[in-house]
Amino acid sequence: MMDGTEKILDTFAASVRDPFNRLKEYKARVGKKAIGYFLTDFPEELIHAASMIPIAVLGNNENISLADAYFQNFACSLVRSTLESKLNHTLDILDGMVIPHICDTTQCLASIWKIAFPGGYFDELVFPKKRHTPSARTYLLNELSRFKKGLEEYAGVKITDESLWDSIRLYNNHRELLRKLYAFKRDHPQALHEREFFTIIRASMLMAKEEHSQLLSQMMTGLAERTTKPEKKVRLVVSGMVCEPLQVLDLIDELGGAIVNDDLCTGSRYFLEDIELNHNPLEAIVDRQLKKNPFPGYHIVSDEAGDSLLDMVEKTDAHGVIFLHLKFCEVHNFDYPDLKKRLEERKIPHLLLETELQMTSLEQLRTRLQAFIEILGRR
Amino acid sequence: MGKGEGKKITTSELQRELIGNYYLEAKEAHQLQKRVAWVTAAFPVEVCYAMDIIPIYPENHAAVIGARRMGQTIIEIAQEAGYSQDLCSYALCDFGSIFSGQSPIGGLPSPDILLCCNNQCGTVTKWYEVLRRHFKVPLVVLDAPFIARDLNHNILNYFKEQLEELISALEALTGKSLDRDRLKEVLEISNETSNLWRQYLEMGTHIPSPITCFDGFIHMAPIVTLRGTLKARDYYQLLITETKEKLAKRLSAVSEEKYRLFWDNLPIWFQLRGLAEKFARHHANIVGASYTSLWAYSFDASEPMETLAWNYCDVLINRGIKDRATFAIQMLEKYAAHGLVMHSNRSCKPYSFGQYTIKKIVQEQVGKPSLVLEADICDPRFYQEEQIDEAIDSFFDTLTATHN
Repeated sequence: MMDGTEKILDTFAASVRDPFNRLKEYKARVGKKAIGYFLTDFPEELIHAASMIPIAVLGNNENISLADAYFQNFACSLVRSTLESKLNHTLDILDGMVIPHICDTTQCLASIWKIAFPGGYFDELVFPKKRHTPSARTYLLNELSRFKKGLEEYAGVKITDESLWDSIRLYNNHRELLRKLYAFKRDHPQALHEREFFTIIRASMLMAKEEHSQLLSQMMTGLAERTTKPEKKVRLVVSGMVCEPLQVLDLIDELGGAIVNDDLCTGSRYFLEDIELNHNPLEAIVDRQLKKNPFPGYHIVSDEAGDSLLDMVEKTDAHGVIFLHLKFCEVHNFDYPDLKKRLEERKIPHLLLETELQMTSLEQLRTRLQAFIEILGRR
Repeated sequence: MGKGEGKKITTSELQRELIGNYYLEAKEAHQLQKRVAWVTAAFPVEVCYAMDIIPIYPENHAAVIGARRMGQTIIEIAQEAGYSQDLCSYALCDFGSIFSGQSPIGGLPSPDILLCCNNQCGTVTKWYEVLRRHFKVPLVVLDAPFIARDLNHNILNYFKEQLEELISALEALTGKSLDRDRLKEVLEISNETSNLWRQYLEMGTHIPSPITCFDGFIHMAPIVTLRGTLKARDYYQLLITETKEKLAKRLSAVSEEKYRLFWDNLPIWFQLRGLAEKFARHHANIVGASYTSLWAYSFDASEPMETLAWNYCDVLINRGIKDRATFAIQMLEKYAAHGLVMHSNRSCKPYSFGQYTIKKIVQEQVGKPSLVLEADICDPRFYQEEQIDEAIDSFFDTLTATHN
């Protein structure tokens, strides 16, 4: 019996609302361990190939209190909320955790985590901050080999090339599905609410890939039925780390906007690039990471960040750009003024919104978004 | 001040002269057929000196802006250009100064190349990317991966390869190849200077101490900017002679030294004197600082690439919180200090996050308290005098109760 679109969307929404409760059931059903990971560029395929379930730890919108004993208030809310959910036992169902160093704050989070929660499986991935040199590639390959060995020891499973290729194929197929969904959404902005779309992506990071892929392909066949009632939407590109709080999406919807492209870690960055099936699988994972669009936590050479933003706008014929920044996210703050300049040179309107996971009042966001979308709608 | 016959020059006169000449030379660099590189505070600058390239330190310049209390005005200029106040205030001082030309020393000579090593933070990488877009000159980033486990060959090999990439870039810039023997000489001078610097800092272990960490903050300019030159070496020889004279006279930097403390993180530049006085009133001397010890390198000139990689990867803030807590405990012991003073510095996330955990570890392992001061290096808007006073007073209440 195939579930209908609405029911599948409900399943995804439930997983986003309470990911770990759902995971508990799933774990019991399949008898596998689950490993949590922090954003971004985490090579989930390796966890999967070690017969475990990789699950993103994305923080939540609940108040932060316990983490205040570890982090000053000028750490971003994503990191503080992640630590809070560990401290208040929300993450207890996870068997282990991996934190990639993508900025100074995540580096400290990993360091604190090791001290505060001794025992159990934990690893931290120290990514190279350069992406374009052979020496950085060699370094990353060695770092991932080390990580792979540790995983094998913990899981008691050998990650063979064959099992890794299998996992890579599963993930590539899943990424392709998400890209198709995005393409569909661009063509039919009225068919999916913003919240629904980003919930599907978020759920894909919180559910086993097998399950999510199956539900997603099932759902997509039913989506076509929603393509009626065409409506003119203001086409927007969203740039930032995560889309938080999710109510921002409701506001965009309500005010007549449609997100047609993004570079979010809980958006396009998660599924844009596939792993090429042409040589050694670990090297293929490394190459994928190094060729991805430039996340500002890495060293950005030449003008690639600005080029990539303009490219996103032009490819999707967007009317404007929303910089959706997490308060205290340094890497985005440093890039913003020059990105803004690049957009202004091309007369592309833009809006900067700074948010936190625990944002209580949305009124100011609404006012600013409303004015922005209205102006774009008149152009 | 002249160097008249029979009149001894003091370090403060010498520093004025040294740093004055250094900036003068840098400003005339292009006439002197020399190249200017802007570098980060813990960059392997020995390579620059070996190639006759003048290194300029925006961080040092920002510290001067902070100390001269020009921080807020200059930071606001950067903010107007779209840079968030949440960013590192050194970077903001640098941007504000570039955009407006405002500077306590008439600005910095523009760079021919930008050299950035991320061993101290990821911030500098993003900061130098902004500089690259502004000045449109080449940028070389040396990526020193964080030492999450141990300083292993993967890190060292990666760094050594990048050193070669750096040398190629500098050779392309100058049109000259690096004289490897000259690099060894520079490393020897740098090593000698680092040893003198360490020797000076360790004079703070004397009871009572003839120096304070605030003296260290003032005397660090040459080790940072002129490390690898004979001038810097001579400066620290003089400083040691001066300090030895104080020691011989049993001069105490703080009258009736009762408490000895150790500073963590960067200084609060616009409050050096104010804070020194506040602690002195409690007869407390902050005798050393984790920050100033960052420049106490130890080079083996016979293996230049190897020694540069070891020294510049193994920077205290490129290590985890556990290692930093161990270091703090060692310093408390070495300096016979009663506790830590931690500057929780909004500008420096990697140095500041984890301080609460270090405080806890230090309390648990050696029973010594830590005072956390929430402030900033250059932005006085993040310095609340009343809260600082309250925190200091209550810290001394605890110390007094424990030690009486």
